[in-house]
Amino acid sequence: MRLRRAVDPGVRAVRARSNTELRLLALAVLVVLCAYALVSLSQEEALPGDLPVYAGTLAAMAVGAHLCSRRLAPGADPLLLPLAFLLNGLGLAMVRRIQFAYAAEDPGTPALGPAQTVWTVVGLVAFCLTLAVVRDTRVMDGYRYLIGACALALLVLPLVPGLGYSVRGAQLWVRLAGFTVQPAEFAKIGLTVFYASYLAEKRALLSEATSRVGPLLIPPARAFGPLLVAWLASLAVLVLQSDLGLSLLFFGGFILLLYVATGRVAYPILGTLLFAAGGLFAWSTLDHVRLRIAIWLDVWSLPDEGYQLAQSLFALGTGGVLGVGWGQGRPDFIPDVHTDFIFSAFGEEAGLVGTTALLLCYFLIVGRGFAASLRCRSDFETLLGAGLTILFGLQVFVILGGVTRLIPLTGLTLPFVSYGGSSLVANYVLIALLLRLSANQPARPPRRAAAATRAAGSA
Amino acid sequence: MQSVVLTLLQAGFLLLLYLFLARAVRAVWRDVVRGRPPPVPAQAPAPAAQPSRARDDAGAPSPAPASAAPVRRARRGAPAELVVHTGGRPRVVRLEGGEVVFGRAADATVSLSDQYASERHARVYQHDGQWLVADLGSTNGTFLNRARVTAPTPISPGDQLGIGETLVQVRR
Repeated sequence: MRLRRAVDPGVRAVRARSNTELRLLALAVLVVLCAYALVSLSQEEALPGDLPVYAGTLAAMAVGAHLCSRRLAPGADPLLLPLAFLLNGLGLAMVRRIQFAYAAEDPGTPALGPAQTVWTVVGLVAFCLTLAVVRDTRVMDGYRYLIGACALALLVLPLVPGLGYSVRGAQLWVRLAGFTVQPAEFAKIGLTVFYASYLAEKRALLSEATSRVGPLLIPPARAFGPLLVAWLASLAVLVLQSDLGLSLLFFGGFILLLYVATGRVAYPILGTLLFAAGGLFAWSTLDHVRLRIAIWLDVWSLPDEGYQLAQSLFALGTGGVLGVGWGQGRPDFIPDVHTDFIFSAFGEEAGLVGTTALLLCYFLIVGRGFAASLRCRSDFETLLGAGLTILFGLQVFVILGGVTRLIPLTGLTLPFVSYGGSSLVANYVLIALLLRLSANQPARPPRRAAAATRAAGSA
Repeated sequence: MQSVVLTLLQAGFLLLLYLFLARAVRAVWRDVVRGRPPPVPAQAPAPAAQPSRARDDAGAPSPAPASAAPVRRARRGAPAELVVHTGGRPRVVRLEGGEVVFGRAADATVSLSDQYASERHARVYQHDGQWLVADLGSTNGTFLNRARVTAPTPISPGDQLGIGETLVQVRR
């Protein structure tokens, strides 16, 4: 008879976290299967024949990702992966439902559902690869200029003639071997790594305040340099690629991260002023920006240009509190409902109850992201975690604010839910990085902390 | 029949969805109550192994055991560290009892290579539980928030000391 080995309490806590993740994933798979069955039941009036196959596939994907995170990132946050998986699964169900609606109108529409399922597999593989490759986030600190340069290159890639192609005026896509990719989705993550690394080094210098204006401590003039550069870059994105959402995301993300790094209110205040100036400039020179704002201010007076947004508002209104039920609505009334406006389709069919659940998922992801960031041990990791979370949260806010007419509409995808491969894969990479930050990383005093230790030691 | 099944499944979907969220929130709550699991011994040595590791100030409490927490949570508003900006990389000096002498002298606690600083220029010390700054008879004077320090003056977080060309921030 063998004695039971005593388990270290630390190991037991890590195991408990992994088990929580597995339980939540199982629940997420059940919810998604329910949605899948509902879509078939309402559209084909029968339970889908491939329900067991689909269930098996989903479960295999969930278990595969779980084993990866259990093995490669022990002690990591148990909520991030299930939340992302649930959002992704609900998106899959809704994309499939929208595909039925499209097919009813035009039988020749390409199948969106299977394509998105393939992208989900690619996304989960990217998730596992990120966990496997990035064993220690601090390594990225050393490659910041390389990562930053790659991100910039990705950003301008769609502008290369012959390679890029545009959809409705926005020059954002790259055609590659039959696939269209949106490189900006990946550039966002690279730029955040660069921002975090840069700000971690310059944090003390940028937060030094030399003068006081009323209650505000104002950093010296040259500390505002990076802010100006970020502002000019985001304006360049806006003008060259005519993408309002992306430029808003870059600039807003940078200002918020600068504020997180320095704690100086002067930065967001000046940033808002710069943003207002940039907005005014864009409004006076770019027609499509002016049109977006006109639609936002009075959507009912522009029945043609504001058709999409008006239909989105109708859909949300039709849904009411409980929604009309899966498959009972008319998502096809909203042009492009499967990408930017997928939230409105949820609003119509699942109602306020459903959209609230979606929002709660996003809240939880953002909350867990900040929690992971706060527990990091180096400035770089803290800022990276905060930056990635800000990026994610800001994107959700900008697109949901757009489709509900809280702010002018700017084309961004709803992370994990919208149809679109690049966005899905990039967001899985983002979640994997947050997971890595939240996990126990091998203890190795980073160079920066070591230098500070020497200074402190002399005190 | 069909519609009954549909309605039931509809309700089941919402129920499961909110069950998931409730479980997720419960997991968050447990995390808040219990705190972070201790590091895996095989991977990360306990934080106590490196007592002199510098803490970051970016709102990043180090995952040190609970016994170390009170040090961090010192009296709110009391200065805890000085950040010395000399032109190069800023240096962080923790205020931990005793005194900190600034100056060009090699044996000064914070030795400056600032040509406008005196050998022994200024000192920051603790008296009656308060941190004070005093000039040590320097040639060019010591400044607290741009006002010349003539007598020992209490400092608090957010203050700035001027020593020669060097700027020192007082932080919590």
